[in-house]
Amino acid sequence: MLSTKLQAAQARIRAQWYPHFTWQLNESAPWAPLARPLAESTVALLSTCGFYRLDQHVPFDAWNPLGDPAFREIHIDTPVDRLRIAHAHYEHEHAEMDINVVMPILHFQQLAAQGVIGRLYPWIYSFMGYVPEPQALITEIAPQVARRLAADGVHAAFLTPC
Amino acid sequence: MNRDIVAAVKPPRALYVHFPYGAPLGPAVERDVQRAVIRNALDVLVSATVPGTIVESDVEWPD
Repeated sequence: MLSTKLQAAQARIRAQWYPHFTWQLNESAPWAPLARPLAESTVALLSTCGFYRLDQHVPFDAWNPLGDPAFREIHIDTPVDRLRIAHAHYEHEHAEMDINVVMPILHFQQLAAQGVIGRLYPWIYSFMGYVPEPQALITEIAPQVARRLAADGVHAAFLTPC
Repeated sequence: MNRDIVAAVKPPRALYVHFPYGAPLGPAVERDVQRAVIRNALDVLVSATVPGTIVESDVEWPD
């Protein structure tokens, strides 16, 4: 059963972007407990804010009514001036001024230096959060990223949504 | 982020903040606010035991 707010958002997206949009309502939450103390854990950053590297990546297809389910891998040492946003569904003001608002690299490097976390995984997985038909993302792309992170010894993923 | 969306998506665990889209960790360059949100979220990571836990942050958007 959709809440009033989700009904309104669904109607707006149908009117302005994609007439067949229907919210994906998940019935349960996946779960894995944190396997070791945070101070011994490798943490990966993920974001749905549409960042990509302009000298290496094709931008997300931000204006496509069907969205873009792909991801971009961004190294944590990437110079900030090489990064751009391709996402048509949020105001970019804060993210353009300070990438740490959506990809908190500086903060997590500090947390690793302080021993609060064990290690910051060196690759960020950047998505573009408007995906009105999410089946490929759910069944193929997100599991691909999860397998990659698990194979590389990541213990927790910190996802900032936009 | 709309709390209703979080409830519909059902991530394993989530920190809900009363911040606008595009600034999930707080305003640009407001390092103390950003750090506070991140600490809140890491507390949820460490302490949550129930799948789908949503904790509401008390970090406020600065004036």
